[in-house]
Amino acid sequence: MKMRPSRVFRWIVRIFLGLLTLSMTVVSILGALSAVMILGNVNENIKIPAGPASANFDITNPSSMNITIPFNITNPGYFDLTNLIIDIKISMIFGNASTLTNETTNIVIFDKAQTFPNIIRGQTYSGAFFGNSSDFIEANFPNATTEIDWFRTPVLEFHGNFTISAYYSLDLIAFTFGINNVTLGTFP
Amino acid sequence: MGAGKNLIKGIIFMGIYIVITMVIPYFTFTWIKDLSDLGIPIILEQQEYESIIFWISAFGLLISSLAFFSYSSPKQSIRKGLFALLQILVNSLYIWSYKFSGAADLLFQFDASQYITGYLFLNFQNMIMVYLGIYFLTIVLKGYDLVDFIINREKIREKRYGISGGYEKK
Repeated sequence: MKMRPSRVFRWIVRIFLGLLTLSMTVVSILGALSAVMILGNVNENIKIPAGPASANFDITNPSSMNITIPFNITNPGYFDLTNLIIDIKISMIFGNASTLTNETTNIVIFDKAQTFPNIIRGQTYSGAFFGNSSDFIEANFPNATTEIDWFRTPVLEFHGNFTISAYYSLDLIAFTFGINNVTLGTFP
Repeated sequence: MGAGKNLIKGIIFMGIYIVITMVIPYFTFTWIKDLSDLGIPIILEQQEYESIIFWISAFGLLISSLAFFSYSSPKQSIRKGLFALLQILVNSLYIWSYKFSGAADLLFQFDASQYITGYLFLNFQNMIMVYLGIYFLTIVLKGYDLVDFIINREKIREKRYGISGGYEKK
């Protein structure tokens, strides 16, 4: 059967488009399956903290403040996790003695985003999130003698917001996983 | 191919497009709407879900009906070229609807315990843009087809019916 040259050209382009569509479909399906594999066992695949976290929240001595949170992230999917960023925000709740009714006040004392290396498919990355005194927002700290109600129980409460963001499926899918209001500790 | 066969082909492809553009996305989004089975109760916002289903159904119906007209038309006819071009244009709008209906940025809320709440935000915009790129190339191809069918109408008719210039070939 003789085919017109215009039809031959059309078939070449069509085969090229077919391959493109097929590869995109495969990437989409594998990406979706990977998401199910990660979320299917999220407690095991994303562990923050993975061990004992150490922190010094002595607001009376800001230069000594620090925090270290170990974590494990397992990538059981079919693609590498890229542009992995962990953002941790710590807020402090206290009774504000400078107000008439000692109102409970919530301030952000720490906010840091840290970039980590890519996690190759099938591997677990064990790392630690570090924060030192320069990452604490000293300007937000209340005056320990005049602003903090030391008769409140507990005097200080610390809560954390954790955000993990990364790219997946050849950077075609971006995701952000956030955990809000995790109680980190109290003083005393 | 006879008219009856063309009609059956049109109905089959309409069915295929109903499954691809409406049934599969409907069940996928209904499934991910409540991912409680995965250990933690992750919930897609109800309003977002309804908006996604509405746009999927609207464009899915259009695509499926255009697929019927496109696939039931005679091979290399101007009618087929026109409907195929219209179908791919609506297909692009369908993919674009994933972006504006919220299906390209899905926000799930979860309550892992009484005190821990969180969210999972998935962004498929890059993937949608790549798909749109492929659709753009397909639009060019369908436009090329239509022009080809118009320019070479005589040759196509000659091949299909065995006639030349309105007279049957001897």
